[in-house]
Amino acid sequence: MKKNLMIISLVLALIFSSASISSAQELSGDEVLDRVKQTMNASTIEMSFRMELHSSEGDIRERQLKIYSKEGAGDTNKALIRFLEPASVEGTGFLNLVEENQEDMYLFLPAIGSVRRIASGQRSGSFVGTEFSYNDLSVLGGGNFQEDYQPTVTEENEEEYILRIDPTDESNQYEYGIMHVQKSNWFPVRIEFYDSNEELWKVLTNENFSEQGDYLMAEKITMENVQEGTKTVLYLNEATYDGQIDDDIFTTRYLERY
Amino acid sequence: MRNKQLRLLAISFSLIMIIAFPAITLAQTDISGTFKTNVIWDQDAEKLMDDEILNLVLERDFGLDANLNLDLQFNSYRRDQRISVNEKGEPVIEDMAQSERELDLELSEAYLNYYTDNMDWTLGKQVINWGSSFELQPTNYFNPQDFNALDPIDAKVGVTAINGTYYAPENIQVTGILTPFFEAHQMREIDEIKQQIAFAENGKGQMGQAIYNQLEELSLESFNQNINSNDITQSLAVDSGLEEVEDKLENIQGGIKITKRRWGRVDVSASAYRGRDKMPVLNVEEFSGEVAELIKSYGMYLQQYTAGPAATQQPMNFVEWYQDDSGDRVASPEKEVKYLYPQATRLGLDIIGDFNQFGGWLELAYSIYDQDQFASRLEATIGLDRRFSNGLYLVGQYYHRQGRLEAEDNLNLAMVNLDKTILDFHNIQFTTMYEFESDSYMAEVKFDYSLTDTVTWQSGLTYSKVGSAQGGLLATMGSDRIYTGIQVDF
Repeated sequence: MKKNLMIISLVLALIFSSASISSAQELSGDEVLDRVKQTMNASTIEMSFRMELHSSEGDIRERQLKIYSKEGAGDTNKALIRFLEPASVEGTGFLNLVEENQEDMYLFLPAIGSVRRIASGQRSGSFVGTEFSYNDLSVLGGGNFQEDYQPTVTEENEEEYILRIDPTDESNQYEYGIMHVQKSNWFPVRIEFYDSNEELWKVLTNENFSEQGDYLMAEKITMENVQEGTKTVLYLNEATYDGQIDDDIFTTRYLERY
Repeated sequence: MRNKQLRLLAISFSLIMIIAFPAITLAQTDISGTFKTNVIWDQDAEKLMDDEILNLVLERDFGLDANLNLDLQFNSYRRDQRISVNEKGEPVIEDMAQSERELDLELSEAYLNYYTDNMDWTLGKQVINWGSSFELQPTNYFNPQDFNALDPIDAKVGVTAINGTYYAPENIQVTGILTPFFEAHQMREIDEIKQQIAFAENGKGQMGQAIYNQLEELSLESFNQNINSNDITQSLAVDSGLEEVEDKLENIQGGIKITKRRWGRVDVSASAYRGRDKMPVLNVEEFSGEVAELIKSYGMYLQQYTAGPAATQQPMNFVEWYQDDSGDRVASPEKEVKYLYPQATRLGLDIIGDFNQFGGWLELAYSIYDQDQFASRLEATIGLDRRFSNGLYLVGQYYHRQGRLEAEDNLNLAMVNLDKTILDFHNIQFTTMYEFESDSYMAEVKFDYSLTDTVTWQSGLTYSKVGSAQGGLLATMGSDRIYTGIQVDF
């Protein structure tokens, strides 16, 4: 009888202790995304990538591109993406400016020779033939998902938090996403995006993490279109964090100057 | 002549730069370009043509503040018609038994960019992109179009200009442009002759109709002599002439544009321009003199057959009398109709922004002509675009342009463009246009198949139907054709 009592007491103690541990670590969706943002909370980022476009037939096209990103006070955020190679897309540039709850996007195509404003309706469209949409690009540089998604924790295990992220902007092409955030480094290692029929559409995968100064960075980012069997893969060539980036870079004047 | 000299000078300068200073140029100059080759089947002419275009672009940076850009274009094509002169000394187009290959060499662009703190300068031959509309931009004041190109609406020709943009705070920019030399829409010499012939026919028709209208208005008693406008037209021998624009101070063109970006959800530009139309128009003032002379002749004809000894004779038809050497007419049957590039002041407005799920734009240009004979006219576009999540890019646009003369029809054109990436790397584009006044339409399909990162196989099909003789814009856009070719970017 004494032996049974001891076992019950031990089990209860274990249950209560594990419950108290888990409640201490339980985070809301916003808090998880806060942690995600903190891992990437550089004031400026300058990155160069090699991009591979994979067709469903297995053909590959390559691009080289550079991304500049800068966080300002409040919700101010600026990003510029420039294609460097091959010759057919060289000079193509994209500027994203978020300021005082207003987001403006500009595209520069060398063949047209001038900067063109992109309407919000186009933000769900493919960015120059890649699997990334303009909306995806706005979270690619800084990992700031909170501006575009409302998170809810749906599951938690020892290794990761699983969040449902619902778009806050009606121009976003996704119905919702399922984000897997790794607890060990607070990195979103996998995001599944679903279409309006709630069928899996695209999967974003972050792999090959490396420390770049004080920050962790995925050296391989894949956006796979599950429905069409195509994917776009970004390989990180170089990254500089918290460096000096002139504000003039984030202007239509600079975008046009190529 | 001046253009040829300038072209020769500029090309020589470029070649000297490349050849004489290889150590400097090759070390610091980026060389890139595009090579296109197309085989074109012209269904209307039932002819197979080919066209090869090499654009060699040289870019050289001078530190961070300046760079030089040169775009040399080599165009090789086959011609199967030539210009010859008939017995009267008039140019005529003649089919050749065997086609000949031609090579045109042109400096498409040659400009220097110079950047200061708040000001960017571009000096030299350049394409100036004003206007937010799709392909047809009312505020595209400066660049003529190349009607030789496969896609003439989209082919802007560089002009020599001084272009300065001042960047002010609050996302405001002010651009000022001066172009010292006038450039009209471009076409090959043989096409210019064809245009002259068309001008003559058009002018002759308009003159015949005008005389007929005036005779009718005069309600002359003897006007029931089986004369119709065609008879009068047939009696005229018309030469068409084009008043060239001389390189003089008064012919310098200039424009200013003020742009405010990120104004709420729109970008707004207001612009003003002083210069000439790129498309010539009939000079009605001179034309009126010719008509007046003919009316006077008609008066004399009537007088001759209603008074004096001739009154008793069987009256000769006016046209017969007019053509008869023994007639007492005052006007010569040899008429000349003049076309000119009219001088105008234009005011423009361009708004582009976000409207719900669509992008939208409104672009207007109002032209006020110096000469009273031309009516002020409005040119405007209104359009919407949307890029869908499946990659489809859709554009709808309405274009309106008023005529400068009573005889020049208004132009109302609706266009729809669909563009979609298909089979991963490839692209298909479908454009259709409908012109209301002339009941003309055009449909075009273009397909770009990416063979490698830099090589694209391109093919396309154009079908057009011009409803009336005055086909407006669509009549100038080429005939039914199928083409295929390769583009290499390097």
